[in-house]
Amino acid sequence: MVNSNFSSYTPVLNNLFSIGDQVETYQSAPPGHRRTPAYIRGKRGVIERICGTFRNPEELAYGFDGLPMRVLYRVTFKQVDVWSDYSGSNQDTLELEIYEHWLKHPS
Amino acid sequence: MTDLLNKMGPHDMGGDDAGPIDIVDHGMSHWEKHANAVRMTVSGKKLATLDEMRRACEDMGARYYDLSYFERLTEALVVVLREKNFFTEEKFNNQMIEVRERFDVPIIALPDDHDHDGKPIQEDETGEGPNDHQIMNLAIQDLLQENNLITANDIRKTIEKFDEDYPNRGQKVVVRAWTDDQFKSQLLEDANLAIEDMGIDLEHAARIIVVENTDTIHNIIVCTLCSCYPRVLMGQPPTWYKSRSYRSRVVNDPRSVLSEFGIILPSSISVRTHDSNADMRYMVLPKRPEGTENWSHSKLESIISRDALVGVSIPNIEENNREYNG
Repeated sequence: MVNSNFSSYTPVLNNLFSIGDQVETYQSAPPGHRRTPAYIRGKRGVIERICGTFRNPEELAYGFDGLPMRVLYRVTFKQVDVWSDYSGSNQDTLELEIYEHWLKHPS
Repeated sequence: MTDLLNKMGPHDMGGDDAGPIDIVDHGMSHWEKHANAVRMTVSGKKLATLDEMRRACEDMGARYYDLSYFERLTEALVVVLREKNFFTEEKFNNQMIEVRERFDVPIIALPDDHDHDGKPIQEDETGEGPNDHQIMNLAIQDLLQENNLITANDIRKTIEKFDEDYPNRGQKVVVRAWTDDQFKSQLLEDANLAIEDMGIDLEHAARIIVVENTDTIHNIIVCTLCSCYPRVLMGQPPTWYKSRSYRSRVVNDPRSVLSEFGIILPSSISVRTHDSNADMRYMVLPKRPEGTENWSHSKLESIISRDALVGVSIPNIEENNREYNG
């Protein structure tokens, strides 16, 4: 029997966004190793889950320690909001992991 | 289409136009298994991070597409290990020469009547000796061993785990979820805990999220930026998972990708595409087919293909699913 008081997800204390919040990804193109694909930048979605805190891969990629830890979210986007020419169902969705520093409240 | 100005580089291919997908898994040759084991051992021992290796791949520019997957990873590993002063360029080049000389032996023609009890002789490679990238990996291994940072046994064990331990774990997890509701809820809520509770060691290698297919939802997994995949749970990703066509197209046209794999979904079933673009890894929990109520666990496992765990196949009792063969 699994101890339900323990979670493998790193506890998050100061998350800026909560599950169900509307968010928008930053539309910017900083050089370097980034984990937010170009196709999802500047798009609106909803926080689906908080994955925990992780060392920042954008710093780890250059040999730094990746600290402070960053909050990682799972964000759901409607396909029709991401691709204007999407040909599938209106209900189809895309889910991505987006770090907090790539997210803002919708403008 | 994506604004090209925003693209980070050739690796950032989500939404690109690309051709049809070769849906056959071509497996891995021995040198690729060795290359993979060297890379996993280096990252497992924290000599370098996977993030650094990814960045070194991305910095290759147009060369990214000239190289095969493991050629690219090998060259990236050399770049990162040199940056971190594990060896100099000169030392590495000299070691390459030494490794090459080790293979410089005369090729002996086999007598015509030579056979292996009537079975065909299987040559893993072309017979022309190791390729340049295999030599690079052997040189990396030598130099790290010289400094007692890794052992030959580490590499061997890693190859064995990828061949034998990892590939069929996902199927066992699915069958447990199909037959134990409490386990299933735990699995969907916190997969690492549930899976480790089954006695499967995930080696702290990945945070796993399991997503459930239902009557109204079909899930499909991709990694557009590289080839993130729950290796400790499912083994090596198939060739197509790492291909440019799959990585480019699944995010903006999942239904036509699914149809290439033989799955046509009505619009009443919504498709959820998961881009494994950062630190989580994903496995699909397929729907249990009707008519399997009294089946044994091993019989249930036999209808779950690796492809079903990525979301490009659906377990089916009528036909035998393709067997996983590495």
